[in-house]
Amino acid sequence: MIFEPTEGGFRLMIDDFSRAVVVRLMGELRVEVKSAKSATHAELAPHMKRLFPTAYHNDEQRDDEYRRLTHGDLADTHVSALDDALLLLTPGRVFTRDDLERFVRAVNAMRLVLGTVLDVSEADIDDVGEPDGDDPTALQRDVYNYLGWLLHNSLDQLRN
Amino acid sequence: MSTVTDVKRDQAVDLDRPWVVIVWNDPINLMPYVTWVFQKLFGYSLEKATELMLDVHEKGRAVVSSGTREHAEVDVQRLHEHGLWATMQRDDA
Repeated sequence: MIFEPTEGGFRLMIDDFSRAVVVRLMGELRVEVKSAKSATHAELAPHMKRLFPTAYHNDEQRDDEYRRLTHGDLADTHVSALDDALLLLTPGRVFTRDDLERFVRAVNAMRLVLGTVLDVSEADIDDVGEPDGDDPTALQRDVYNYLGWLLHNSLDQLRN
Repeated sequence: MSTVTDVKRDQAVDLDRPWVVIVWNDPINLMPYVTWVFQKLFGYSLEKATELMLDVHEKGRAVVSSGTREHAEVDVQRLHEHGLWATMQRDDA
């Protein structure tokens, strides 16, 4: 159990190092999403496109129009979830159920971006395996696996 | 060759067809997460949400809602906010 029940909700009990890594990466993603707000779809970095998916399948004109109307709001929603999650990662912070729902969305967004960078495939559905020491993406793989574990535990808490 | 009547009839049929929202499989979103999003956004039971999630995972896609184009756009936007790969199109069933 990584969530400890307390008055008014529960606390996230993870070690300081893991907390610091998640906070740093979440902060970096926040900067990237803010920057993506003013970018066209073509200008988005490939790993960021996963946060701004196509809405109209096989209809480029409608998709462009949809993006024009919703892209900024979608970026704001992602930033807002990341802001909330960063606040919730403050040690000792008490989560409500609504807080945890926003936290889950932010962790999932981080995992989507990292998974895209790592080119995760169906074979890696739960995790990307244990990285070996020479792998230049070893830290990213560790973090990806950790975020999956954090997400599983957070979803379990939401179900309880 | 189509007549004006044919075209009008086809257009009427087309306008009657609802829009469907499709969620596509991707290798990153966790299965319990997808199930949770379906329950949260659409109020589906755990059983229904799990069935749809398994369709996405095993068949590559699932229709998760249908209705007017405006309704579909709102649903797609909410699914995108939650990181799911959702698109909309006229129902071809």
